[in-house]
Amino acid sequence: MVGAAALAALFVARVQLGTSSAFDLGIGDAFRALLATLGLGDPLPDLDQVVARGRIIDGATAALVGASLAVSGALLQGLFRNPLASPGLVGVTSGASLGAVLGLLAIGGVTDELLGGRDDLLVAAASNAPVVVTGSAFFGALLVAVFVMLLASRGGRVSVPTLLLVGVAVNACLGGILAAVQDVLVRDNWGVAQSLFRWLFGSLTDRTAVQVLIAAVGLGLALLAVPLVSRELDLFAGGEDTASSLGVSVGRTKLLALGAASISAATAVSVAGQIAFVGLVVPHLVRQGFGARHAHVLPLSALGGAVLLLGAECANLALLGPARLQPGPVLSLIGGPFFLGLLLARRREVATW
Amino acid sequence: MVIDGGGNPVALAAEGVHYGYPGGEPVLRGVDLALGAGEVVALIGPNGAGKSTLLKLLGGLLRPDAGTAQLGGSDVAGLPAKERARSVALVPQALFALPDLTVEEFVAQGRYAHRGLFRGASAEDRAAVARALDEAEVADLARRPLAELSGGQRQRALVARALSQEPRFVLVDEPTNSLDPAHQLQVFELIAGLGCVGRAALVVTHDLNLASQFATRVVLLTDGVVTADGPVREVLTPGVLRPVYGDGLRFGELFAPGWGEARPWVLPWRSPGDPRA
Repeated sequence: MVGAAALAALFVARVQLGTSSAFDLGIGDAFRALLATLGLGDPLPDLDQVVARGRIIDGATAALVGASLAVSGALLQGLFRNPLASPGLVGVTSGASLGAVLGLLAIGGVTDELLGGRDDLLVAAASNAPVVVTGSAFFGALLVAVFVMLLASRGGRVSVPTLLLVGVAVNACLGGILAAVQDVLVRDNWGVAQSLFRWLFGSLTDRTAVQVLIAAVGLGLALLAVPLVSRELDLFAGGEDTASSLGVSVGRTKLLALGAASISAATAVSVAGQIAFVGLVVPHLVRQGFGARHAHVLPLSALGGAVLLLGAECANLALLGPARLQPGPVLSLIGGPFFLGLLLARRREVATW
Repeated sequence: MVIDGGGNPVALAAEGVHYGYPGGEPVLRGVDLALGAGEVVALIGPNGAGKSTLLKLLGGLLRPDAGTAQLGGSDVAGLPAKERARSVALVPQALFALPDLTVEEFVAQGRYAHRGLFRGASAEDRAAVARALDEAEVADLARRPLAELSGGQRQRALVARALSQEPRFVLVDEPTNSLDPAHQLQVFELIAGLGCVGRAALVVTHDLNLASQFATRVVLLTDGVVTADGPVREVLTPGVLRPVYGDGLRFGELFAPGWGEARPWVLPWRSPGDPRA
C-alpha cells in the first residue's frame, strides 16, 4: 500500500518536473494531465498537455523499466541461490545490449535511412523495428543467462565467487565485442556510434508510447511466471537435488525463471539501455524488509524497482534540472557503493573459496 | 512388500544398476537392492563406494546408465516429480533453506508435492505437518526460526520435512554426521521408527554400531558392488568387514533385555602388534 502510494506520488512529481523551465507545471496541473491521459477529465490547454503527455510516457517507462530490472534480479538471485546475482553482474543486460545492437546491424537498421534524420538510435529502432530490437535483445539475454547457469553451477550449487568471476568474464567478452562494434561504427558512421554510446548510459527521456508498451509486455510476461516459480524457487534454496526430491520439476522451473528474467531484462534494455544495480539493490532491500519468500519478493521487487527508478529520475530532475544526468550513471553512483558494502558484509563467504 | 493406498504391493528396487558420472569412472557396477515393508536398511561401505549415488538413483535424481531403478514397476526417474515425491522422500546430509523460515514452515515444504498450483494449505496438509512435527519430536520447536536450531534439531527437522511428504520410502544420507553421541542416538531412534507399517527406510551411514542397533538389515557396498546383504549378525562380522575395512577392527557382542538376540559391536582399535603402534 505504502509502496503503491509512493509510486503514485512520484508519478505526479515526474509529470510536474521537466527539463525545460518554460513548461513548469503545478502539482494540480500534473494531476489533471494524468487524469486526462487516463480518459478522466479535461486535458490541459494546448502545449501543456503535449508536454505533460511526454512526461507521463517517460515516467511510465521509468517505472516499468525499474520494475522489470528488479524482477529480473529477484528471479536470478533465487535461481542462483545468491544475493549477489543481478542481470548486470551476471551479464544478462550485456547480452541484451549486444543482441539488440547485432539485431539492428543484421537488418541493416543502423543507417541514416532508418534513423530518419534523428540521431537517437533507440527511438528510431523502437518505432521502426521494435520486434527485432526487443527480440534479439531477449535472445542475447537468454543465451547469456543459460550460458552462465551452465558454467557457474557445479553439483547443482552456484558458489558466490564462481558466479561473480563468470559474470566478470562474460561481461568482459561481451563488452569487448560491443566496443569492437562501436569502434567500427565510429569510423563508419559517427552519428550512429554516438547514439549507441549514449544508449549504453541508459536513457529515460523522450520515450515513445510503443516503448512503454514493450516495457509493459516484458514486465507482464515476467510477472505471469511469478505464481509458477515462487514456491519452487523457495525450495531451490536447499539445492536442486533437494528441490527435486520434494517434487519440484527442476528443469521446468529453471527454464521459466531464466526465460522470465531474460525477457524482463531484455525489454528494459531495449527500451532504456543499460541501467545497472536496480536488479541487485531492490530485491536485496525487499528481502531485508519482507522476508525471503519469493511469493513476496518477486511482486514487491517490481513495485520497489518502479519506485527506485522513478524516484531517482525525479531526484535527478529536481536537483539538476536541465543539467540532469542520464539514469545509468545515477544508478551506478547509488548502486556501486551499495554493492561494495554488500561484498564487504559478506566478506567471509566470498573469502572461503 | 510395501502396500500402497489401494492395498497393492509396491517395491522400490534397483536391479543391475550401473552408473558413472559424466567423464568419470563407473561408480556403481551392477547393484541389486530392494526395500520391503517395515525395513530399516543400513547402507554401509567405505568412502567412495557409491552409497550416496545409489541413494540418488533410488530417489530418481539420477538415471542409471544400465539396469533399472523402479518404483512399483515404473522407472523412478521417469515419474513426474510430484508423483515421485509423494512416494519417495530424500533426507539430505545438511539443511539449507531460506534464512527466515520457522521449523513449521520448513516442514510444510514437504507438502509441495501434494498441493495444486493456486491452492493454499488444506486441512489435510496442516494435519500431515502436525503429525510429522510430532513424530520427529520437533513440535515444541515449530515456531522457532531454523537458524536457532542445534545440529540434532536440524537433523530432526529434515526428517520431519520428509515425513510430511507422507512417503512410502525414506532415503536418508548420513544423518549423524557431526552430531554428538546423545544426538546420534536420538536421530537413530527416530530413523528406526521410519520402518513402521507401510513404510521403509534406507539409511546411508558409517556408524556400524548404530546400524547394528537400529537396522533390520545391512547392505555393504564396496567399490560399486553389493558385497554383503543380510541381517545385522551376518554382515557385521570379521569375515565380511575385515576384507573391506582392513584388520584394524575389533568385534564383540552386546545383549540387552528386549533385544531378543545379541547385537554385534565393531570398533576401530589400534592393535599392540601393529607396526604403526
